[in-house]
Amino acid sequence: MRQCDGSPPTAQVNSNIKRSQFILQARMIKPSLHGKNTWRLTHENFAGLLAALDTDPERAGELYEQLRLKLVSFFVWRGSATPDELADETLDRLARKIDEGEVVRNVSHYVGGIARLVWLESLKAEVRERSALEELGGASRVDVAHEESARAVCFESCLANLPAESRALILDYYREEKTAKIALRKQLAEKLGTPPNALRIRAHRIRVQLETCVADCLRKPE
Amino acid sequence: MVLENSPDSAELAKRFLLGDVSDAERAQIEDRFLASDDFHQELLLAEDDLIDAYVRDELPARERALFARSYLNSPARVERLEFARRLSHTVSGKPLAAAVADTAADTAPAHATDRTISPWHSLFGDIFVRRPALKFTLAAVLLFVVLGGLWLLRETAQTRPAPEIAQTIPHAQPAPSPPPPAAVPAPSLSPVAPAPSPRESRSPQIAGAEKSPSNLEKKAPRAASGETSGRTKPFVVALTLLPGLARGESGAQLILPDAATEVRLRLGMDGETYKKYRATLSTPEGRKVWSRVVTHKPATQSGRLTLSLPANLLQSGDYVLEIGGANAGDGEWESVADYAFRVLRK
Repeated sequence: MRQCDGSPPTAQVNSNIKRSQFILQARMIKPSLHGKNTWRLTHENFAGLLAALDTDPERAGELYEQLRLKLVSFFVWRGSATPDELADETLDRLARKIDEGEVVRNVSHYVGGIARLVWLESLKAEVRERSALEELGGASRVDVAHEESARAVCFESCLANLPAESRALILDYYREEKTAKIALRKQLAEKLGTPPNALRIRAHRIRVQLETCVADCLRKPE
Repeated sequence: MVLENSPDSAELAKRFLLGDVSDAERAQIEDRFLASDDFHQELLLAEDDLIDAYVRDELPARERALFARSYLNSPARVERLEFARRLSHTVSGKPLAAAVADTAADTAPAHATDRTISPWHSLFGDIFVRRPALKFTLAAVLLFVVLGGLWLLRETAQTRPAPEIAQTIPHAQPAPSPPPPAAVPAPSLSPVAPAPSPRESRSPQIAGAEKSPSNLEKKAPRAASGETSGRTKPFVVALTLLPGLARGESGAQLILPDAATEVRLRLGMDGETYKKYRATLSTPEGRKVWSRVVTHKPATQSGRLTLSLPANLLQSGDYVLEIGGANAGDGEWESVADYAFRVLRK
């Protein structure tokens, strides 16, 4: 494993920064997706990226996380098979631009431009990879029955591990269909004393938590 | 700026997620959600709703086709669909076997055959697993009904005057009836087949699949009418499709007997006619199954194009047929129409 070649940042450490540093360290051991250059993310230029997001390190950590999530969505909605990798590649390039002295006034707008470029490059790479795979004799077959069984086990386990309140909420929230669900969700919001949209966001967050748990569980080796 | 807080914003969000926006609209929406956490959140919520609506078969025909073709184009999204199906099964009690069959059809029709389950099983299978006593109760009730019916028939026959029986015999045994239609308005794979919404009922797909008697024609195998040499002769199954259709319960289905040798697709078309047409049949995830260029001028003046393909190319599952048209010899292909349908192998 390649080690970080910079000294630890001296900025105030908090949970967001810790998480950002964890991400940074995880990414520093991965080679660049496209391998076009030898530029590597370091603690220094990562700190520069955070500083461009906000002068307050804690707030910068939050903004970094939010920006990364939005970039993942960007690539998911473009149909990428590797949205996390492409989001990281985009952030790397943003950090590099800042490191090279580029003054970025509107980060979200600027990062959108980089993301589109990364997306186009990934499409070209995908075409090359697909051709290579086809030459090798096509994709492998998946054991669908086994996968389905594993998914069921993971789902039940993750659902059981949710806090009781969250579990009850998600089961209630998604219970009904069509018009009945509107009435049910309204009742549920009234019962919980929360506005309908706040309940919708709450249910979504529990759903994301459950979905992430299932995905992590499926990735674990048996 | 697109997607202000207007009644159209939810609709535009849905179109964005379905890939049904222009490049300019897409770029504007992307810039906006990259800049706004709230807007990003709104899109995530809209995505949940969209996936759930697909899983629960609540999307209109056109959106369902778009979802299968455009949204399910990455493993991450297919995984999200699987999760939504599992969630839907858990909270609503929808039999998961049906859900699995649906997913297989959405993403891998070639492997879906073994998972096709009968409507009866999808209706009652899950209930019986959870409450086995119900199985015996229902069996007892059915037995009672059958025995009661037989007794009633016997009583009626004994009390009916003889001439009346003589008159009814020819009607009771009509000439050999034609076999059931090859494609029907969908034996539901879901436990509760939702009634088509008024919007769906107005869609051309429903009109094509359910209302037109000439829509589905099976040139019956000889075996069905008493001849035993049917397998050696061509067995053609025909299906009429209208543009912009969705497959599945709310759309066109083709029940394909194993004995079928040829599938004839009659495509309703409107608009401009072309000198040549290119038909491409694919699975929703883009695996090309069959392609053909029709170079002669087909009978499209009457708004119809007929294609024939070997029946053995089709497995149970969903298919998308894209028709392109061109006028000049080496002219560029223009998109003419898209059709979607579901095949059920019997």
